[in-house]
Amino acid sequence: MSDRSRSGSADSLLIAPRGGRPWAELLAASALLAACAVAGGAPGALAGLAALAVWVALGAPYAVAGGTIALAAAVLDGLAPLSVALVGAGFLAVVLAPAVRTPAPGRFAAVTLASALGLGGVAWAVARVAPLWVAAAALLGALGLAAYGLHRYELVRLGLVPQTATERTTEEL
Amino acid sequence: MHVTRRVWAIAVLAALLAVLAVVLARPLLLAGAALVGAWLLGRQYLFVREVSRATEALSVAQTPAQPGVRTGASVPVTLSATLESPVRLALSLEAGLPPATTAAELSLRLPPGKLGGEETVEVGWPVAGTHEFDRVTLRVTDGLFAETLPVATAPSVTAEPRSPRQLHVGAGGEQLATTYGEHGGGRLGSGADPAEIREYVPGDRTDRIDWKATARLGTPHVREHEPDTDRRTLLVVDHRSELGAGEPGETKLEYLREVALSIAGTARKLGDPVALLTVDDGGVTTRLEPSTSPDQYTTIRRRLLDLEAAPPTAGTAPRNRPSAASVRRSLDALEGDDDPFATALRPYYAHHRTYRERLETEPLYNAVRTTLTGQRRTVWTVICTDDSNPDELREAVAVARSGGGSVLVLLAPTVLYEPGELGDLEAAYDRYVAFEERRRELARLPRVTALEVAPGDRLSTVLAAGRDRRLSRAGGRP
Repeated sequence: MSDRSRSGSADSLLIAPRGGRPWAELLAASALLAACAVAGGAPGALAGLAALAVWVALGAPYAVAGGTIALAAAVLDGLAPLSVALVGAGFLAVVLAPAVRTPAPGRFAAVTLASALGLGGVAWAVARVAPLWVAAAALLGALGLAAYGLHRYELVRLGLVPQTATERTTEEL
Repeated sequence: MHVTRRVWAIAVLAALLAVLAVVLARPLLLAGAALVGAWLLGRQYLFVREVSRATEALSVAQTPAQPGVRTGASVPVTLSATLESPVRLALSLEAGLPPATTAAELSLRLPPGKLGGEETVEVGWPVAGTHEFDRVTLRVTDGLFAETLPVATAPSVTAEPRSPRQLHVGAGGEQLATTYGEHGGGRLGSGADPAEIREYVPGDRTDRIDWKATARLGTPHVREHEPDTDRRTLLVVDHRSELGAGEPGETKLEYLREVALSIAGTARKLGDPVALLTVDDGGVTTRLEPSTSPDQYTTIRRRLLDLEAAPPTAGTAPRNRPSAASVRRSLDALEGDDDPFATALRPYYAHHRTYRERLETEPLYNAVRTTLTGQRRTVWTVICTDDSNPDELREAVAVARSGGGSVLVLLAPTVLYEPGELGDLEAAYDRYVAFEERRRELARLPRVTALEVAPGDRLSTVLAAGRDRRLSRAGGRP
């Protein structure tokens, strides 16, 4: 059974295949559709449906990307901050839905939630005092920094950090 | 940590959303970029956590079947991995085989959910030395991220070169107690090494008076010394095809070479002039005249080390030709016998010259005869050969003794070298007994010493089989 047939896209092996009653995914889909309809009315609901279709076909990240682009195109006047937060919460539910099928649902959900709030918070805080492009750059920079930090954490945890020439043990001193 | 192309694609997607947010001035797209980034970070964290758990639960071992091997041999090496609990990651392991080995790839794949596995391959060790394994390389992936890390210990295997082991030189299974090659002068005279003290007689030089002995004994005494003598040595080494019998690196020639090198080394130490004669199926391959120069010893040593047994020639017939002695006996028996049978046979035995001509085509006999004929000084001839051609050897020894010289025969018994010969120990013992009888026959000749050169472990095995047989025939009584 291919990864694509398991979850609609090639996701990590650590996410178990969807079972007979994907209640988490159904709940997330309902939340997203409701949020899009509330925020954008009928065009918003259509954008929400398009996002759900992309979710089934390609997976959550492409659903988020496609859905936000579709919503931005559907609501020409833009969305109020509260609406952005509401739609964001809907897409967050889509991102968090597979947590129940991971080996550590709680920790996975906590890290994902913290990452979303952290990256969003950085972008929002910078956007309040600087142009949007600075906020975009800050968001991408924060994402890169967080990913590198996790990489270094992994090296330390697996004992793969090479000793430099200047490092000496107490016994050598 | 390595990222796959899928992760790069999703990262580019997040960047694209951020760019679009700026271009279209839509903060919603920036929120989308943040959510895509959160998706990536969540899965990265999950991978880090599970890799740590998997490496802690994993036991990997790469195990050679034995820590020691002879060069050219193969040893199976096993790569095994077991997990305490199943993981959802795909694991692949690659053994750290030493570079100087010949083997197919040794790797193991554990798909998600599998608890362990094992793979074994035959590894060849063509190079002598201690070979250290590298640690096993473990690659872990979840489809989005991958990590490569070393695991398990690194054993080592020692490959020893094939060479003669437990070299036995002796007679009838008894090891020779003294070093071969050393010799006494046989008489007293002037020299550097003191020998014995005797009473002073008129005519002795006063500088030879031993004053301590004189004071002790009360009358003048002189000390005799060992004279400085040299012994001309002719080293004859047979490297015909029969001498190639045995395991690689442990052939008859290899064992005889060790002894020949030792004799040449002793001659060098004593300053004895040494000549070298090597013989193969076609005749003489090396002829070095006797000399005491350092170059001579070096050349002899190099030539001995370069010797190889001649390749077997097709259609070689067993050598069962009669010796001159047996021909003479047969002819004497036929003399005076007038019956038709004797009359018919007599011409076949009458032609000694025909027999002699045949013998002169035998390489070893011919080489020894042509080298020693006409020698004015006595020569100590050392013949290194095997028991394949007993009649030719007997004639060669007779030629070597004829000028008053002494002979050392170093014989490699074929039964102790041929692979598979020890499969039937009783038959092997019988063949060894036959060899020992021929060796003793040679050793009984005046001024001839005949010794066996053999692998000590195989000789012990054969002798033990003989002892067991004698015990069983005696009803178990010692």
